[in-house]
Amino acid sequence: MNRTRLKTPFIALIALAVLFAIGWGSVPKAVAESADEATKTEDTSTYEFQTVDELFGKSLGMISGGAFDTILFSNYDGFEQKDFSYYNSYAEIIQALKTNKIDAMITDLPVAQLAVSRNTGIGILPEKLVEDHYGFVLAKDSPYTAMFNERIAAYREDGTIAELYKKWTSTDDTNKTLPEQDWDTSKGTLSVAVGADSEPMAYQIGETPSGMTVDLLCHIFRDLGYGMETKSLASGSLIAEVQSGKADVATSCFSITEERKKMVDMTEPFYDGGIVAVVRDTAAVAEQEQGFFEGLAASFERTFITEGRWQLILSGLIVTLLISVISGVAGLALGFLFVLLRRKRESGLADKLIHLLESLLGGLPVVVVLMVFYYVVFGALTISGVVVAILVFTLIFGASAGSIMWNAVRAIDAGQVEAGRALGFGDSDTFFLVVLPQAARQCVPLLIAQFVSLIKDTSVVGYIAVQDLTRVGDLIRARTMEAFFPLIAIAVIYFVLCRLMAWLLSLWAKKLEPKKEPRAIKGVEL
Amino acid sequence: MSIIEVKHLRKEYPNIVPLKDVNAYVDRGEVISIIGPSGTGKSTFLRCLNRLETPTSGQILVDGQDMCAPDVDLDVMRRKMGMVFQSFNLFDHLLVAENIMLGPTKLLGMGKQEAYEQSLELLAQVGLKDKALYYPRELSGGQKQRVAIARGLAMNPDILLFDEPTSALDPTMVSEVLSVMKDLASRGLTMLVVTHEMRFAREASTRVFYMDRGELWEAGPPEQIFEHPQRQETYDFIFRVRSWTWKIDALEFDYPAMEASLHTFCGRQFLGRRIANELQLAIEELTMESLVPVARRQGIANPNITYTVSVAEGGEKAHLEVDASKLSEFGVDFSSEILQDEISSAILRKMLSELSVTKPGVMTCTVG
Repeated sequence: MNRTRLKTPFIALIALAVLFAIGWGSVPKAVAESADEATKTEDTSTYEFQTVDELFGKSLGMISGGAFDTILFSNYDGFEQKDFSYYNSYAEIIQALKTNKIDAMITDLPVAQLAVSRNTGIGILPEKLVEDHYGFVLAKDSPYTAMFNERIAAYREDGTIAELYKKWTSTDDTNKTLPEQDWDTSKGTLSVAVGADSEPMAYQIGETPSGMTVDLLCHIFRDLGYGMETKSLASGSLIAEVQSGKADVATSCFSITEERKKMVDMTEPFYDGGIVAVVRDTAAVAEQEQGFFEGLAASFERTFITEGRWQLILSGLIVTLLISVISGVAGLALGFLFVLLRRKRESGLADKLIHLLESLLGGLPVVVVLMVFYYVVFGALTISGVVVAILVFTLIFGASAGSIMWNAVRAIDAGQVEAGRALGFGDSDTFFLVVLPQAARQCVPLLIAQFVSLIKDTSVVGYIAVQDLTRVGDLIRARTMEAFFPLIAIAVIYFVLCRLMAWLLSLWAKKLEPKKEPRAIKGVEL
Repeated sequence: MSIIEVKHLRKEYPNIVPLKDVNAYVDRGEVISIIGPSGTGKSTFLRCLNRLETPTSGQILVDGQDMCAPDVDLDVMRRKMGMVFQSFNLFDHLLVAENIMLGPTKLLGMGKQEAYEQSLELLAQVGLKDKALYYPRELSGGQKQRVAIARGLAMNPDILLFDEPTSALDPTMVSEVLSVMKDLASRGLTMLVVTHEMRFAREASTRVFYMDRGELWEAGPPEQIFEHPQRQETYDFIFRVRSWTWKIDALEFDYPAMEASLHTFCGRQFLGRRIANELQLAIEELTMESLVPVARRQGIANPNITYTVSVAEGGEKAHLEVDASKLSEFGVDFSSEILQDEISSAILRKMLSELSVTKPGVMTCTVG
């Protein structure tokens, strides 16, 4: 029994490794190149498409939460909604492009430049689709909008913005740091939600939200006399963050559109880029093939070593563990409380309420519950995503663990209770001395499985700006523009974590088993 | 003075009234067997006594204390009355010794070591001293029930209630439990036993309660109930439980089921292994060697043979009646067909001390 349990992870690991090798072979290698080198390649004749017209009716990929589709519709009649696919990260779009799932990636010029510089086999369509202008997002009728506009105009004038753009798109990564916040912050501190995957405008270096727009915000805040507090979020959540008042400013590659202006304030543009299409370069696909192990080593280095990303992964792992373990322990306590309440009176009010909670939480996707709590229930409060995540997962685990324990308690033969009562034990003595120890033996394996499932369920906390293991994987993929390796790396870490937890807990659970040799009775000399 | 007094006890459920109006008393040191058909309120009556069931109306006095009074401390009262269940209800997560120690240590404040010594003593009394460190699931049914009795005794109760203690046991294990109970009965413990074991009721009880249809029909010494019942209902029941009938209505009948049923009956009536085996041999011999082959030869699909075994006066011997009158219509005769078969008759004659043919095709004899 024990031996087979140990074997399973190994077999699964080997299977993963095989999958990994097969998958790796089929993926063209990404090469770390500088942006300058990318711009050198001016021969566009081998690109699959040359003009915008050729893209009509083709399958186009874009980041979700962006406004590209609206902008394309208002500028061209040839595009149709059904041709658009939406992705959560650029790494995924590039992967889809390279594997022929889509024909072009629609994105902003700076992002496109970076994507091309870091990948072979793709290039920017010579014809620009749309001119575009970026601004910051603030809450509707925010008092800060006018002040921001004034500062942006001044910085455009004196060339500061051009300088910042140069700094953040250069090949020299060592310069890409934000100014120290040493200015007077007497007017208070504003919260800034920073897009996590729109390099070079807004992204993460290590754990710090960074990018050209954040740098610009530092300048503006210093001038205005406010302190700045940043947090990193997926692009899709940024506007909601501002609307719910959890952040004062959101920055990423936000195109200024009429539609957006109806819902939030948008500042004057600080950058005039444009929307471009990234397409496949048929000539370059075969180039730059690396050996399997060199490619693996390069991917490993990009995923774990560069910019000290292992620290990011470690911190994500700690967040995942923190949320799982605290929610697990608190949820177990909550579930036990549910059992005690239900025991008082079967099918009483408490029983009905708990049943309602169970069916409610059981009937909703975890991510929906999480977002409802973050944006609606605690929408008005300044409360960290981690705390909300712990609360939500405590509730969810409490409901499921409570129902497991309650079923185990009810499955104990009524005769056991009668025997306890007939001996002269009171109701709670009978429960704790007779029923509970037997019920525990029944439900512990189920609880362990439920806990492992909880660890996996926490992978959606990225939706509420919590940087757990999955989320840092996404961030790293956004930076390396590589879909495959970081995904597998995170998968392996999750797998090892879950099996390890299950194994540790089952070791502990063995103590509940009655099989003890030699047999002894505590406190008795036999 | 009576240790238990029951007055106008009534228990109603929404669809059924298991106890209509029961009046009874039990004196200290008495051993009461409660007998009667299944589903007639015997167990409900017993469970009302320690308030595992709450009576609808009426009064139950235990040691002068009204068990239905609002201020009664049931936990304290129950410590005076041990209970042994049909399904043992041992605590499966505890060792045998721990099962017995749980009450004394947690409720009577006894030290663990002392409780353990006591558990060994009690286990010795029920013959299970070597099983102290076993888990209940490692024991046979009979052993489990003896542990349950020891657990009840550990609280040093005034009264011990037995709710069909042998009904869930294999016939072979019944006697080990009953002999422990007989031993307890002889030591002056007040006992109330709901049982189908008539021999136990007859030999170990001071009085027998006959319950039927929610009422206590007759209470009296065993001789009265078993030999001279005052009421027709009691008489019918006693006759019914003291006899066993089996009918063979096909040539391919279920012999193993018949044999098992016979042994169960013999076990319950304490007829002893020798009598049971002789009865089985006699029936097997008659049926398999003579009656069925004869029927097959004659082409009779339904031989229609009825066997009846009843316990003779005193409970030491058994009457066997074989009714094969349908076969006799086809000219089969016990004297001619069977007793002339030399092998069969030699064995049969030896076993059956008195054999007589009362009318064509019907034979009776006494075994034992």
